[in-house]
Amino acid sequence: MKTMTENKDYIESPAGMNDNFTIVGVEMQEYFDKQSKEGKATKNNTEMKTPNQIKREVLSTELEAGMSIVAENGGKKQTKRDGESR
Amino acid sequence: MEAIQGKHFSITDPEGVRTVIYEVYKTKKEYLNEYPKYTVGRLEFTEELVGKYNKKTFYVEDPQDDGNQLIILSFGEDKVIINNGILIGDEVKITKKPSPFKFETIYAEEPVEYKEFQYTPNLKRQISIIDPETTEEIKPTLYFDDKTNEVKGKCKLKPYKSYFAFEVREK
Repeated sequence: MKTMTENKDYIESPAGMNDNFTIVGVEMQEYFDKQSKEGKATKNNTEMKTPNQIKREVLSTELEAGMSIVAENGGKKQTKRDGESR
Repeated sequence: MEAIQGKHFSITDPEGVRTVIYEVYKTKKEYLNEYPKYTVGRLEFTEELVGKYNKKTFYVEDPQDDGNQLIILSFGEDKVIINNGILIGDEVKITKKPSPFKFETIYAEEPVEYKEFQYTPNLKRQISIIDPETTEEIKPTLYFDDKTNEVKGKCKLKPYKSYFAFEVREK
């Protein structure tokens, strides 16, 4: 039986460390005014190297380059079944 | 015993901040003529209140050996902070300096349509439009473009309302 993951991999796969892309904020008002799809880019190509600090509890307002957040095993289905969340 | 798949990690939102996370996908070479090279899909999450804070646990169902790139969007009152991260091994690393972006209010007398962005068959897309008040993504109406033979999306946006839209582009 095909799983959801297998279906997703048919067309695309998760982008990994070797994939380079830019996140661009789209100026929608400019689009409507000029009927153009192109918006101003808010590119951030800055990389700060700081000593890695691994944290378990992290505030979203404290995220900074070089920081690491603990990731634990278990997708959503596993944790629901184990009763760890919800 | 079922093999453990997927990973999860938590980020806590203080009062007034709401975080959502997208995973970045790369289209396979053989489909690059049809779909954008990079697309995004939102991570599922669960949340629990811890005092005044909202602890959100995000789930990545398909962790890869070479990492899973993530876009972390934290919405405040009038702007969103964009963080780049990568899930690799047992941690999510924040890879770049946070970048703020102000919301944009649509000034129009009537509802307007934002359209012509592509979807893959798995509903991954290059452009996402988000309502900052709810952090919900604006659901598009899908249509088939006869001229280009592509499935595209059309979003109806309300006038005098703020939205945040972002696109993932190849460098």
